[in-house]
Amino acid sequence: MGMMHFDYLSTVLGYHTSVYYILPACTHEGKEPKATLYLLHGGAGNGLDWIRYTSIERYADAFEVAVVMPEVDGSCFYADMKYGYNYFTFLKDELIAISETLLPVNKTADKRLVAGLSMGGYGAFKWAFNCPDDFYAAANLSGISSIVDLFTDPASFASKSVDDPCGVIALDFGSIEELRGSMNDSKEWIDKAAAEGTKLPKLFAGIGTEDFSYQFAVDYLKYCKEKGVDVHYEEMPGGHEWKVWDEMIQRFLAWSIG
Amino acid sequence: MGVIRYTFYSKILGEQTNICAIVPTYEVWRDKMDYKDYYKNYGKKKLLFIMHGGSDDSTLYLRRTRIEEYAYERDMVVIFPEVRNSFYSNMVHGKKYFDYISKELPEMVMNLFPVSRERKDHFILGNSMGSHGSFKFALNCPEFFAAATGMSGAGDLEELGFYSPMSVRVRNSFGTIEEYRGSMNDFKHLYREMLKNGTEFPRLYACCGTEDGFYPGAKKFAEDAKAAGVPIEWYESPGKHEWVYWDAMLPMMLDKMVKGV
Repeated sequence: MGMMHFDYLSTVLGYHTSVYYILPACTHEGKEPKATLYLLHGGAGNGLDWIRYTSIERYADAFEVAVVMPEVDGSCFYADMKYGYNYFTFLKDELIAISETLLPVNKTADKRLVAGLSMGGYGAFKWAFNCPDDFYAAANLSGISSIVDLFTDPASFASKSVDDPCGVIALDFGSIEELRGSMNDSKEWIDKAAAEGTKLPKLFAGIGTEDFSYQFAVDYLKYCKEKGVDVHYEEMPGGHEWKVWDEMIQRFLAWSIG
Repeated sequence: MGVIRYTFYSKILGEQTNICAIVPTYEVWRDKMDYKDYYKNYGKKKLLFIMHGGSDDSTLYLRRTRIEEYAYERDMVVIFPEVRNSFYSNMVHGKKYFDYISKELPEMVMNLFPVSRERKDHFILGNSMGSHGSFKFALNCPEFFAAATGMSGAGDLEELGFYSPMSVRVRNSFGTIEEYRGSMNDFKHLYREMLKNGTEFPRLYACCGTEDGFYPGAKKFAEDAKAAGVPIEWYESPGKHEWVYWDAMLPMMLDKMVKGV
């Protein structure tokens, strides 16, 4: 098995970007991995984070899973940004296409997984809810919340950036009003899926009980339940930290394909 | 073009090793069709192995030449392995680098990357110690390659002066001069056997700068081989044992191999 750094000119982004891959040993002999995990980094992070702060390579080998780790702007919330780059389109149209054309990753939805932490957990669910036919399962680790609530609750750290013309909300979505009810609104995903009876990928949510956003997660999961959207939930002692994500990514792999 | 650095465990070497790779990707400023169609119709690309020189590693061609551009122009996947100072040999005192290069690496590369499995699409090139690696791979596995290029040092190790005096690298890779002669590292021995057996050769191309210390030995080898009936072409021009020369020669040598002109 091995770890790959891939650098190329992205068509959708219009700049050279990095993607990191882990390929299980079976691929060297021409065998397909059991699944391919698209693994998203969090806010202020980059494509190396999962490699540096967890033992994802070991877990990938144990589960015979290929891992694809893209790199996006550290505050883009995996959006087609109002003022910036089209990160969501990059994921859904380009990342899968280049990975499946150039490398021995799985090429069918029933073998694709997506997961992420914090902003990347939100991104994983955004991808899964907006492209439900593209994945078998999705995991949101410590990014579980109604994004509008997270940014408008006066007690939340995130609320401070709402009125900043160069803040996250302005650059990514335009404004709270534009965010609300859009494809970027994590509450809207639930409402839409419930209203349309969408067949969703298997959903996993994991968080540390001392995470600053723990109460947001509890409220959000309660809302999912009310709307009949089934989410498998696990929690453990810990904050908004790598200890939790290192554990939860293993639990997600075991739960989804173990 | 995509540039890859891959770190992985080699079973034959028994340790982690690296390759670099260049893989064609859609170039937004140059390719004309829709990028989704580009990937949909991607197909299997030509495969070029590049063998680094002594003291170098898998990154040097990317750093010191314009190989990425040359690969783009020819729509090729390029693979750069690394073998330290082993001369790509199954070392008499060391690791089995030739087995790694010739058995483990090609199979892995063809499994990982979108490349052709056909001989007509397989090429190899190297400079200095890598020119020895290139010809050694091609002459020991002639069924795998359409063409091979050796820049600045492809030839007989004795005629090139590697045994006078013998360096530590040469001793550890090949052993004594008696062990070298008639071995899989001895190109004169290899081509004589191939000629005797009627084995089909890859097309061979050798070049060297006229101010290079290896010039006389490399030229003698190419001329002797040609006279013996080996399909080898020799190119010489002013130049030294340096990257300026190798970068200048790359496009021409690639075209000789790929287009045969």
